[in-house]
Amino acid sequence: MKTFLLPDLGEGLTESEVVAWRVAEGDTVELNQPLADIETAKAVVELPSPYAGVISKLHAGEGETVAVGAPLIEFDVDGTGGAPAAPADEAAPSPEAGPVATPEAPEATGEQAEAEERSAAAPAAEEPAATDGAEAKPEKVQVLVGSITVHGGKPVRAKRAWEVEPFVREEKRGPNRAMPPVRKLAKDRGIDLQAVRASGADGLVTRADVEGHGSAPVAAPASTREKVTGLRKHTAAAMTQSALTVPHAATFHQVDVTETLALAKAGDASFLALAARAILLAAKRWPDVTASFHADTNELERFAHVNLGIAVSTDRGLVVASIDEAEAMDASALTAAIKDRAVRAREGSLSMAELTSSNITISNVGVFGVDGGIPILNPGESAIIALGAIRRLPWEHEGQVVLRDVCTVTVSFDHRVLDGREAAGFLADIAAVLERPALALAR
Amino acid sequence: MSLTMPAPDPQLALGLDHPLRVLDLDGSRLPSDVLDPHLTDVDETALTNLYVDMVRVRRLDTEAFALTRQGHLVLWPPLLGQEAAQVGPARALRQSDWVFGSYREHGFALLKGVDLAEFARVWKAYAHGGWDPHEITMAPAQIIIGAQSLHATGFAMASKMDESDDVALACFGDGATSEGDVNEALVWASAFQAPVVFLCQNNQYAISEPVRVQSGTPLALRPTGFGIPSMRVDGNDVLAMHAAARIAFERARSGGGPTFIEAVTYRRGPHTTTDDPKRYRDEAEVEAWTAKDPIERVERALAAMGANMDAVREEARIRADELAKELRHAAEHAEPPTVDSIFDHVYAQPTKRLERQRAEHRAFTASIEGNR
Amino acid sequence: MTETLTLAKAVNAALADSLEGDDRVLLMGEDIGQLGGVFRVTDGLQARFGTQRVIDAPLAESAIIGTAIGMGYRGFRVVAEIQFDGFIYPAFDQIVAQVAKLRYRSKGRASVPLTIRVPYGGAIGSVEHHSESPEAYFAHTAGLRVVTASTPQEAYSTLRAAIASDDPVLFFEPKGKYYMKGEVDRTVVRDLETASIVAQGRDVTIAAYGPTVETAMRAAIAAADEGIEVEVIDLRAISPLDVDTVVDSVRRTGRLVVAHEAPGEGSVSSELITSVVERAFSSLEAAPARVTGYDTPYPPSAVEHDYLPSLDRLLDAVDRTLGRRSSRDGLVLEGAR
Repeated sequence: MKTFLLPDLGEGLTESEVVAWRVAEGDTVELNQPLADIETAKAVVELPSPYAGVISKLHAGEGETVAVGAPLIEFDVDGTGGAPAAPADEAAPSPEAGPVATPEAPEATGEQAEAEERSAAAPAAEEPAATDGAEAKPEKVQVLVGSITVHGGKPVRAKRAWEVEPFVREEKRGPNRAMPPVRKLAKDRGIDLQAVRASGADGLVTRADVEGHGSAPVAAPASTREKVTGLRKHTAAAMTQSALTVPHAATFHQVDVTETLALAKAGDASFLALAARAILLAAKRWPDVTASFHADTNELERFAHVNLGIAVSTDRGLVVASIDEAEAMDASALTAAIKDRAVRAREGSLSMAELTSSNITISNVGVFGVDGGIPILNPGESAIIALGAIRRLPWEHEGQVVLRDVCTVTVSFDHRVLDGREAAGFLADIAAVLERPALALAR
Repeated sequence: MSLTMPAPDPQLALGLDHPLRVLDLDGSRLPSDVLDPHLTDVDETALTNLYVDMVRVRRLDTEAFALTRQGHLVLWPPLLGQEAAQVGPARALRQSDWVFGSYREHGFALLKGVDLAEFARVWKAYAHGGWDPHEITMAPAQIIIGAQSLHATGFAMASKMDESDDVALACFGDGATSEGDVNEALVWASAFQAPVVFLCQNNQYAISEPVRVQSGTPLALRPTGFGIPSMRVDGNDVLAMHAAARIAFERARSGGGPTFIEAVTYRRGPHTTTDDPKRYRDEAEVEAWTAKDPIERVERALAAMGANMDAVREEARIRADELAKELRHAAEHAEPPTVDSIFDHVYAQPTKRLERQRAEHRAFTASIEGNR
Repeated sequence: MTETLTLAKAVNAALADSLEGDDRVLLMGEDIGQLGGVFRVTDGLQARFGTQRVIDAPLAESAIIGTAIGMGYRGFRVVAEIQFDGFIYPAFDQIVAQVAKLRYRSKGRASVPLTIRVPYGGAIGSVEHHSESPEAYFAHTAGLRVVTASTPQEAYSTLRAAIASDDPVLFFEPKGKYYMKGEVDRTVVRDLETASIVAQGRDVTIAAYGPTVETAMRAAIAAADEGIEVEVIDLRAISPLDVDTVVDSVRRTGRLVVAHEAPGEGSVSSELITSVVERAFSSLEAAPARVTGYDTPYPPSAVEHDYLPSLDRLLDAVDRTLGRRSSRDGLVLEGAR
């Protein structure tokens, strides 16, 4: 058995049509006897028989289009019939025959379309494997912009003769660039090019920049600029607004909080919650500390409840989370509420109402190890209380100098709403309860 | 054919009105004052040899044509109908004379002694050249139309400088006469009286274009304007072609300078196996020329001379079959070129640049799993 | 409205529409009339527009171009066909010494609105002189526009633009893609000097033109399997070359591979890489790479697929620019420095 594959009958053709058969299955034919008329894109041509023998099968009907490299005719050349041979002609050199054969073998390159091109270019009888590709359906493949129609399946890369390392995209490059010798210098010295101060235009790092890096006094940039977005941008705007429109004043008080701290350690209320209780008790006596001044209408707005804001520092910036109607809460409930606000502030899951409803704020700056400062008022509020770090200090206590736990409490206030006397009174009341928590029973 | 322009010197061109012919269509011998003196030694045996040569050339051509349709060769420019126009002059050459032909000069190649195994590789796209030019004294087949006419002229000038009597034969077609190269070759050959013979096989078509697109005069008149004598010969008459070539070669060898021969013939097949002649000419025209078949004409002549035609035909058939078998075997079993050979023979010595590319390509090939 | 055409038919449509739209357009070339061209690209045009407008030329390439110059003086727009790339050299003098320079030496008072169509490139399994890529010879000559096409749509629109141009244009048709089918919208207008980004990617830029664009696109698809994003630029114009588009791309990707069928020495890739290095040197993360025909004559077509840029050769070059393992790792060249 011999299988005859349709060859490229003109330069670079991909397919041809069988116009007419001049023989039928079962006919005995001579070598070079005309078998069919084949129409290509260029001409109708006569196909002479490549073998003497019996036609055992015609693979295409008249009018049918056949891909170059596809089987066209089966011949029984030895008169024995038998099983159809693989579509490899004995005339075809075996892939091992020549040192060249390997790159031509489609399975070696792994790329069907090129195999198809090859089959179009080379005598079809020599490219039996190309028939698979020739029969595959064209497929449109999108390539981000536009698309191409691929024949013979999706293009695939040939398997390489080594184990391929996965491709890892480099981190996005920083703004710094450098000429190759400078890059090499940086690499040789183990210097990250992006950490080097670039003296050239558009982030160009020079040889001198790399050579100066590290050995010279820290060549930190004189300044850097970073785009401010999101919460930080919002905080910036709010603080600016508050600082520029509200006449701030502040007052301080060093307080012996030994007893309150002992209370916190003994019970389930946190020191911060106990301090909040002290503030809430003081606020009851000085209600204007939760009032809001409206400059546009020269009105003072007073609130029925104390919505206690807790300032929380997060990765994204500062937020003030409100514990509404805090005056009704006991220390234990406040402890839970403060913890809840802190967690959710860091998660970013606070509601807009929780972020905007406070009317007085506590800022626990002591966690940063400082004793105090003058906090800027949360916009719309009249007082903000900063709690400093608790320190063991020598302190006069009951006529003796002993080590006591001491905390600086600061109140910043809107001087349009409160004057010094009221602010000092408010602060003194806070301090009194913190010093002697038992006083709370009386207030 | 009538003339549309007067010849500058009509004496220089022979056969303008009727192509020179000594064998009539029916095989009878026609007298020719010009050609007969050069055919005195051509007897039945010599004519039989020419006959066998033509049958072999035809068989080479038809087998190669079929091999192309069967996918064993990639392209073939057939010469069917032009056998006499090649065999006649080829058998008038000495081995030391050089042929500078186009891509259709298979008859010359065969009679010059080409190795078919190497020859087949060209048309299988395995090689660019099909023979050793110095071994068979024939330049590589030329695809660029007419370019070889200048090479032939240069060879002839050199032969003259060497005081050799080797001549050069430039073969081209009717279409080539339009190319600058051919016209420049005529200028040079005339100016230097070079021993070159220009054989124009006017097969009536340059691919699809009939000869009237190339010329308003018989092509044989053209060289007279350059001062080159010419003959217009029946290209399907092997004896006339043989005699005309003898005249031209003798003139060249004896210092008489160039000669132009227009062989009036016909390409009965397509330009190449990718062509479709039905688009540009009638079947009737092909049939008319088939009736002027150069081989049948000689068969009739030999029969008229009393030859044993059965024996002659049998001998020709056997030799043609041998040739066809050899060609088929060559086409089917040719070893493909190695990829490495891409880089061979670009310069006399390999350059560093090419050696680098060769190494890079080897490395690339080896990078594909399963190679080497 | 679009229609599905082969690239050859798209060229035919562009010629037909140009002939239809301007009666000073005419075609000249060998076998383009009655035969319809050796690739049947001009099929039916002589029957439709007559022998005065679709002219079968004598076999004289120099004369085809030379006479077109004369016709240009009388306002004809000649579309000349050079039958095969390898046959253009007899016309070389007329193209580079005459066509290219007429506007310059006449101080703009005379010009040659000539389009020279050249089927070029390989992969058709043909014999010598039928598979060459001679575009660099012409790109080197000032005054000529040299363009290519990569798809039927590009062929249609770019050829229309070439014929309409008042400059002489060499239009190189990728004959290996003549039977490539694609959608063609005849209203799409293209210019003669802008490259197109035909695939976007972040990792490597491949710049190619003509028949090699499809190979580059296939490489981009295959590379995506490994997570590598390849940006593919169809240069379209070889001269003048759209360096801006390539420089912009390289500033983003940092890596460049240039591919074409023509040999690399003194080629379009030589020019393009030089220009990119001049303008975007510090953006390059790796040395540019190229995949071209080797610096040999076009080989016998039995081995042409080793000579031509292939998907795997392209990706090997991509790997090289990415610093990944490539076939050249460990390649030791005797006597090389």
